[in-house]
Amino acid sequence: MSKALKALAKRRTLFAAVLALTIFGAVYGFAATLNVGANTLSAGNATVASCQVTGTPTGTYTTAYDSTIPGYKVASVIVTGLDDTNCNGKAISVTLTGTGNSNLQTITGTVPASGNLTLTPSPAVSAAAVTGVSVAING
Amino acid sequence: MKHLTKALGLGLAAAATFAACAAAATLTIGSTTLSAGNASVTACTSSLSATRNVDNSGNVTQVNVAGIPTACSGETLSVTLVGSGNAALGSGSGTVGSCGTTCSVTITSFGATVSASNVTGYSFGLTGA
Repeated sequence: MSKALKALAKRRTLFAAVLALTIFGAVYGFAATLNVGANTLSAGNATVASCQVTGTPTGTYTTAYDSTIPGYKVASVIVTGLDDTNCNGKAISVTLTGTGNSNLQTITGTVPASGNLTLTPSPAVSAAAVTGVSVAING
Repeated sequence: MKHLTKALGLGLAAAATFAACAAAATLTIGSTTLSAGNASVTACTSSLSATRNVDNSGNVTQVNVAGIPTACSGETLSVTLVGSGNAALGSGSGTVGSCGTTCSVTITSFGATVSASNVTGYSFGLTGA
């Protein structure tokens, strides 16, 4: 009787061990085949301030005759009234616009310490085609 | 008492973990300055015409631009004498003064002697004061 009980106990132990191994293997197998990735996600807010605190940037122009147009071209664009205290050294883009707000040419430069910047369009832009000017300062 | 201590410890650990995760998700960012604006570039006139005076040698002595709108008062008028192939033969400029119904500008210097026979047209440029 004792032998029979011992044999039964051994069989149960063996069965339990096999079952445990089977379950572990199955779970491990699932875990090994599931590759889950994630991109990082970070968020925050910041205020975008303007360096132009005082003064109003104003575009003035010089013209010169250009036989390739033919007619008068914008020889230079002079931007005055830049905030030389806060915008000094920052990148500036000046765009001459035409009919339908089309971009005739964008000229870039750096705000000088004087606050007055002279830019030269190249290639030539017909003065007659200019209907507006846009200025952006960033940095 | 033991159970209470364990529960408190577990809660504290969970709170610390969530706090750490929340802190990692918050991103502190900065921004450089950005300024932008637009302005219209208007013209005080769309049409100008000129006449010229010629001396006995056949050279242009002066160009007269009349009928300039008063809106152009104070601006600088540039005139180029144009020849074959749109070449610039000579240029001069003058200031549009204050005037009555219309303004006129007379230009007498072109930077070179220009033979009237070579002039095929005029080109004008007006820039604001």
